[in-house]
Amino acid sequence: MNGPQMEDQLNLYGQSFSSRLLLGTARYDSPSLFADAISAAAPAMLTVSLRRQISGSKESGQSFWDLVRESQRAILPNTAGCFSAREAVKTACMARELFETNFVKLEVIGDELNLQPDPFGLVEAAVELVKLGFYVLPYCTEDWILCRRLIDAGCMVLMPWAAPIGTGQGPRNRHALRELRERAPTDHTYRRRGYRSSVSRVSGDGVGIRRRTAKHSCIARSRSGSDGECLCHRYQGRPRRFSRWANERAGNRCCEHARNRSSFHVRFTPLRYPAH
Amino acid sequence: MFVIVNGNTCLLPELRTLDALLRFLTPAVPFVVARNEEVIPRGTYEECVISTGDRIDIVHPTAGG
Repeated sequence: MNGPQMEDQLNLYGQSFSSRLLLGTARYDSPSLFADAISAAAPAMLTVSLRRQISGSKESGQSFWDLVRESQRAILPNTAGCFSAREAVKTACMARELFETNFVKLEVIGDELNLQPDPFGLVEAAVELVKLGFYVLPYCTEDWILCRRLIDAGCMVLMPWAAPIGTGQGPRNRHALRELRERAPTDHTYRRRGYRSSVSRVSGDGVGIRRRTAKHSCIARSRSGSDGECLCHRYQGRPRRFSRWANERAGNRCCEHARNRSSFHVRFTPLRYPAH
Repeated sequence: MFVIVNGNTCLLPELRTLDALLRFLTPAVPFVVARNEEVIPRGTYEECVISTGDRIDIVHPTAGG
């Protein structure tokens, strides 16, 4: 693989992905729209939740699972709805058994209203899950001390939110996100686009998006300790297209289909790169 | 016997193993089961003995994230 191709890879815990998009699976208007969105976005991973259920809408659940399987995309289980570290660890273990993956998007919610992450429970759960061999992607705030604790716990990827879920505000604290981006690579240099690190290649970065309101960015750190760029994105009502920059970062997939669907309107707004 | 399935108390006929319980409940596939907070690996359901009062969680993949 040559240099530019390697640079386009998203690297999470040593696994490479050709796309930088992590796509949420909730609240699509129809299964066909969901399938079309997957096809158009070609995401690296699909986030999937777990639900306790015995009876009820078995058919709809089955059709959802069939679509996910047919997409042949990697699955990123999450611990949505967990309000304690213990609950999150249990859910992660169940997800690993069900999906046969060590990846988990760790969510420990501290506030019922805006679903703000609970930093204390998050670190506690991350420590436990890393010990159990999970590849933890913690959904966190942009607080640097929290992120440092998560890194110390063994997390190689951080998923800081841009704004509380449901607010549609876009990144609320750009300065903190930028500082986080700068400080995450504690002992290595990192590079701007087109500038190769003297230490190692940069692992790359990605974005996680929900159907209508994408809220968090993703910072990835490679095993070597270098890191990727911080991306943020925001929902802006009815944007007409993905930005060219975002498309490039997403693997040059322009999402023609998504452009024309009112229910898949997401616009990315990259943070500025810190000056070198 | 009674077991607590997904938080609901269920009165059931006498069932010795988790495998028997699952055949009785017929949950949609795929699913994963935890008994008293412990995840039970697939393939060990027949060996997993259940007792009255056990807490059984059966979960399925669902849209989210």
